[in-house]
Amino acid sequence: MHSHYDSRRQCRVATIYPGEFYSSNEDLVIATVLGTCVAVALYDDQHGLGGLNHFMLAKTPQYKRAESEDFFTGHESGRYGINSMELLINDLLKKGACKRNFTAKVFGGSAVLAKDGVSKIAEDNIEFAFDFLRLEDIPVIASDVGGVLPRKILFYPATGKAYVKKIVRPDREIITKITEEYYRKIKLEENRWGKTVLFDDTKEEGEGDRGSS
Amino acid sequence: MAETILIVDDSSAIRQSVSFILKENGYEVVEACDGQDGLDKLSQAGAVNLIITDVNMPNMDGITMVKHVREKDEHKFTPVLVLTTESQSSIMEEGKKAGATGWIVKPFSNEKLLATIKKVIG
Repeated sequence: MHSHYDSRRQCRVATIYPGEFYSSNEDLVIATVLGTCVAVALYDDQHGLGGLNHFMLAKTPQYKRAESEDFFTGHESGRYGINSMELLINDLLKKGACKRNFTAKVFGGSAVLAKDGVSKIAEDNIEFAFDFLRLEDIPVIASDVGGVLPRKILFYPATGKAYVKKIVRPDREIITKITEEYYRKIKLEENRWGKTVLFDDTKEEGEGDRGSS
Repeated sequence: MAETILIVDDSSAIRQSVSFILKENGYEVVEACDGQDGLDKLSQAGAVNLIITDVNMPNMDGITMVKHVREKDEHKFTPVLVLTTESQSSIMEEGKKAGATGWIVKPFSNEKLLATIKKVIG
């Protein structure tokens, strides 16, 4: 997350990148740029508290699921998305939000890098976001998904307002680079999935100690 | 007879995901949506061979639930795995003090989860 003061908007702008999330009840803007990835904005109107994440499903291209399966079965395709959503939800709950007050806005999932304008990854990302929110009983009150153009999202967490700007002349080289870097990061993280500690023999399996929300 | 596992998590998506994997591997599954519901289901379910619980949940969190589980004579030694996004050592220490058997950080891999379950319930 990168934060700076925007003199035009006269507030702080917190920019999040793929795999990150941010939440606040302050008068600031959470910004992100989306290509294939999706971002979900959650807002608790009773507490004036909201947050935004930015994610893509792990393993989707390598582990194609059958048509009859969803993201919440054993195929692990939805696991990274579930985790991104849970980190955001837990962060909001720790700051005083109530899950039953949440409403959601969903953005992204454009086929920006697909030559034929169709991207299975983008479609899966969108489908996952809506399926997850349906399962968690969080109503989606607005969305802007699909298409072929990337989007810049500005989300005001204290009011729940969101603004979307389509990027009509995207720099595909930069988007490709960012997406590939994110994929590499996901692959590295997958090796650390499920770090396990058994207390009785204080044996630790897996690697690394990742931070949490 | 199949072993019974109680899954306690406020996220329907996670309960569905974990439940699917366990059922596919021959376990009976009972689901609960928070710590209090977990204690209620534990009383109703009869024999439970393992409890898998999240930490951050409404009504009653996972660590508090583990403390209450350990107060019950019949569950003093029932294995409890904490499955959570939390990975800070201070929270893990709290889980250990409460009586948890082990700690698995999300996102989890099916393989590692099943291997750990086998290890703790034999």
